[in-house]
Amino acid sequence: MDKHTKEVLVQPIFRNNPIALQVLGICSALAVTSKMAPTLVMCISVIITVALSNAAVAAIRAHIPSSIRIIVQMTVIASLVIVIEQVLKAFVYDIYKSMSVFVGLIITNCIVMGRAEAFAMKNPVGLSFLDGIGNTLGYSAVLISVAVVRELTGSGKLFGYSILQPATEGGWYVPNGLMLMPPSAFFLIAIFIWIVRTVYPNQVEKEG
Amino acid sequence: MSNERTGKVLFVATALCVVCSVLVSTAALGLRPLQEENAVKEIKRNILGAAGMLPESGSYDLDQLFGQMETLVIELKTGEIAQGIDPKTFDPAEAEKVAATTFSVPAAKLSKVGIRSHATRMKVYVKRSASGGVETVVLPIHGKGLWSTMYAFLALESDLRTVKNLVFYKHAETPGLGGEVDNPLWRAQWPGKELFDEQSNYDFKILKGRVQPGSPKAKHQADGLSGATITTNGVNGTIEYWMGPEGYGPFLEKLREQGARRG
Repeated sequence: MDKHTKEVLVQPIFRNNPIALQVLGICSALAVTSKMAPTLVMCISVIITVALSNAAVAAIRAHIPSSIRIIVQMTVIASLVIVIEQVLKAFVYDIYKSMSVFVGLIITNCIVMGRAEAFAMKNPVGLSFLDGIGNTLGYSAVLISVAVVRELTGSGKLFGYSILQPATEGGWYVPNGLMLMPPSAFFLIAIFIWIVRTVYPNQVEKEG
Repeated sequence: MSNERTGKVLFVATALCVVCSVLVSTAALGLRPLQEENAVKEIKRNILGAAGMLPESGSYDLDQLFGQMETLVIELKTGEIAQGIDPKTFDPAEAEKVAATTFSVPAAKLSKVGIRSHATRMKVYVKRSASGGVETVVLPIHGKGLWSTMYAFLALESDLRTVKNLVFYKHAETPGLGGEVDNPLWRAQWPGKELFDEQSNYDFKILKGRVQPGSPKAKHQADGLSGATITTNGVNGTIEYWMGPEGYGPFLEKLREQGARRG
């Protein structure tokens, strides 16, 4: 893998993270991260959607009339999301139910269309595919770290297995109910952004 | 050839739509059997959940648990068990489409339940105790909320007056407002509510706001959903309708008589 290709894949994970730097995709980051299992399914779904939609848009980019390019991207993305929704409904029904509207809302996740418009319209298929994976890995990194903290402190569990024995079941840990509420994800994402910007000070926006 | 010519634009748009729709319909059709199987399991799980027969945690054999329940098809009008109908294959939604087995809701009741018609027969689920008496009966009910028809299972205790559970399993009400009908906190108030008075007359109302805990009527009232008056009215009307003479009234009457005979 040459240097450029590698950068396309790795950079968005921390240096150019879609949530931390570009502040995209916050809505689902709040909604599905109270437990690990739906979070992982969401991450995988978004990775597949963006990778494939990027590749598909890149493949036909030479033929997309610019007057209808947004609607073309939207159609590709929407079709992929519907297919993924059908697959989830067939194979992991319980998780699909707990994610309710948020699977469908992958369509409106700004990362998906943002990458199609900003990258896939100008780059070859393979590179666009990797760019999709890289960006969504960055998205997943944030979601998974938020979900680990939320499920662990909110219910004392990971993937539904008790790690910190809650007081209600005879243990010592008193679960923090706030962590199960969507607002807690705001605090956690803020901390994540704080850490990333301490490591990469050039991400800090200039004041004034 | 320029991409911006009208012909090219139309061609790209059409070709894309065809490819995408083939993709989507292939996925939808190919996966349908699996999805339907999931839906059937989900219904069974909801029925068992309403009857309080699902273990809190751990694994269980869904079909074995469900086998402990008796599935009956009843004639709503008489409350008798419908003759010559296999409960396994009977589908009330299909029966509603056939003129002979469709029941038009009387105009006076329309404003309560909101649905115009339903089947003349319904499928009910009965759990019997060791002595053969009714332990729990689970009744499917449905009616209009604000946007959608809401489907629920209402489970009654052996006295056929007290609610064991009310589980809404399908609706499209506003998330966060009317959609709270499936919120566990709101559902938790239902067990122990009494739909009928001592003389088995219907006596129940969902209030706008909260039930006063000390009120003598507290058992015959439930909290409404705040910000969702129309959904709340829908739930109220749906329960009242289905407990009435067009709904399960005659069937419950029959069960009460049987229980009284049994002594």
